[in-house]
Amino acid sequence: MQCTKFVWVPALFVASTVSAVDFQYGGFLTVGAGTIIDKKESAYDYEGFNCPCFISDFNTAGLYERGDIGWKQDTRLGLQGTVRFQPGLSLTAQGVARGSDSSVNLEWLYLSYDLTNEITLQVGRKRIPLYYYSDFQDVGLAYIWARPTQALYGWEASNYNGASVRYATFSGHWEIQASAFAGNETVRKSGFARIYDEVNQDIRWRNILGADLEVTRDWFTARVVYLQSDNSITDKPDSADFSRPADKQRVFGLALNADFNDWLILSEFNTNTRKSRDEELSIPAPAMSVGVGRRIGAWTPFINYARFWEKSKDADYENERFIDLSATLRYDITSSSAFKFQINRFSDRSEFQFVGATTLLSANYNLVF
Amino acid sequence: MLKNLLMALFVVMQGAAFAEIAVIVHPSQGAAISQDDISRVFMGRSGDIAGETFIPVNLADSHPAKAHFDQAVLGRSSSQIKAYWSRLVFTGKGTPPKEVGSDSEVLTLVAKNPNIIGYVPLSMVDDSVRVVATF
Repeated sequence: MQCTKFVWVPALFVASTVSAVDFQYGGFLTVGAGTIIDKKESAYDYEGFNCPCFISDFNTAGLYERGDIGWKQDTRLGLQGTVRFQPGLSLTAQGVARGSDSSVNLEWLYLSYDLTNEITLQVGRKRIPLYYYSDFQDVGLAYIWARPTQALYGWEASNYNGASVRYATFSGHWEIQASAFAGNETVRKSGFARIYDEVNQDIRWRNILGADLEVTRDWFTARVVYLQSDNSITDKPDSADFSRPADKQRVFGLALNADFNDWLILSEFNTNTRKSRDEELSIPAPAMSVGVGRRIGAWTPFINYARFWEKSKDADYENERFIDLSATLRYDITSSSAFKFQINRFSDRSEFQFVGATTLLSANYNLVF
Repeated sequence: MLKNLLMALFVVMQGAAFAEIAVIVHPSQGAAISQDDISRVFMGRSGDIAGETFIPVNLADSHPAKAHFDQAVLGRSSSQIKAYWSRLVFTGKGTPPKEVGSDSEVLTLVAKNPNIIGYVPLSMVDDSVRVVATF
C-alpha cells in the first residue's frame, strides 16, 4: 500500500527535531467487466442509450448498455503521492484514470496541517464526504460491493475545491471523528447531466457547506452528515450560462454499520431535497441501502437492498424512482487483492421513460499497492 | 506409517499456524501494556501508552507472523486490516505502521529505540528487548 520502506528507516534514527522530507506513494486498481443479461429490448431507447441499461456511475456517466460486454464502466487506476515536509505538514495528490473517461482526473490535491494531535486542517481539492463510502468509493478493495449503489452514490459533483477541518479523538472505547467542510465545484461536460440530456451540460455546486460526525465502538459505527449547496446547470445549446437563481440543495444522511467480523450489516439512509426558487418546485429524494453478509474464510457473500424514491408533489414533475437489489460474492485473493462477482436487479419505477428494468452481471478485480 | 506421517505433518502445520509471537519494546520501558493498548497503537488510533509515545513497526504481509498478529491481537484478518488502512490512506485520514522486511530488523529497531513497539516470533526474543505480551 505505502512503499516507504527505504525512505523512513534511516529517518527513524534521526532526532525528531531534525525535519526530513518524506515521500510516500501508493495506488489502487479495479479492472471490471459487466453485461446486461436481459434479452428483451425496452420499448424505447432512453436518451440514445440501448436499453434496458444500467447506470454504474452517475458522476462519470458510466452506463452498461444492452447487448454489450462493457469493461470501461468499472475500470480505473488511481495513484496517490504524499510529500511530508515536516511532522504534521504534508501535500497529497491523487489522480484517477477511468475507462469511462478519456482524461486523468485529479481527484485529490490538498495541503494538510495538523494543528494539534486531534485537529487537522486541509485545503485544496477533495472528495465531498456526502456518503459513508464517498471518500473512498474508487478504492474497490476497501468495500464489499462491486460498486457503491447508485441509489445513493449518484450525483453531479463528487469533489470540491475548498477547505475542511477534522477533529478526531477517543473517549473510553469510543472513537469520535467530526469534520466541517466548505467549497465550490464546477463540472464541465457533466457525466451526470449526460445521462439525462444528449447535449453536454456544465453543472455547478456553489457554497457547499457541510459537516459530519462519525462514532465507532468495537463492532458498531454510526455516521451523520449534513450538506447544503446552491446548484445550477447550463441550458445548452440555447444558453451556456448557469441557471439563476440556483436551486437550493439540502442533504441529511445517516449510516449505521455493524461488523461482527463474521456477520456484517451495512446500512445508509439519506434524504436529498432540491428546491427550485423560481418555479417553487421541491423535490425530496429519500434513498436507502441495507445489506447483510457473512465472512467465511476468504469468501464474503453479501445481499443488498437499495431504493431511490423521489417524492415531489408537483403535478408537472415526473419522479425518478427505482429499486436496486444486488447479491455480491467477494473473494480475498491476498490481503491486498480481491475478486468480486455481483448481480444487480434494477427495478425502474420512474414516472417517465427511464433506463428500464435491468439485470446486470459484473465481475471485477481489485488491488491496492 | 502413513498415519504417523500424517500426524507428524498435522503437528508441524499446527505449529506453523500457531507459532507464538511476542510483542516487544525496549528494555527501558517498564510499564504494563495491554492488548487494547497494542491494538490502538497498531490501528493508528493512538500512539500513547501509559504516558509514553510509541511508534509501531509492522512485518510485511509475506511474513507468517503478520497474519497471526492481525488475527490474534487486532482481531481481524489481514484482508480486513488492509481494507481498513486503504480507506484511511486514500482519504488522508491515516498512515499505516511502517513495515520492515524481516523479524531480525524489527528486533534490531526495538532494541535500539525506546519508543518503538513491534512483534517477532517468540523463539527469536533475546535480552536486547522486553516482552510485553505473547499471543
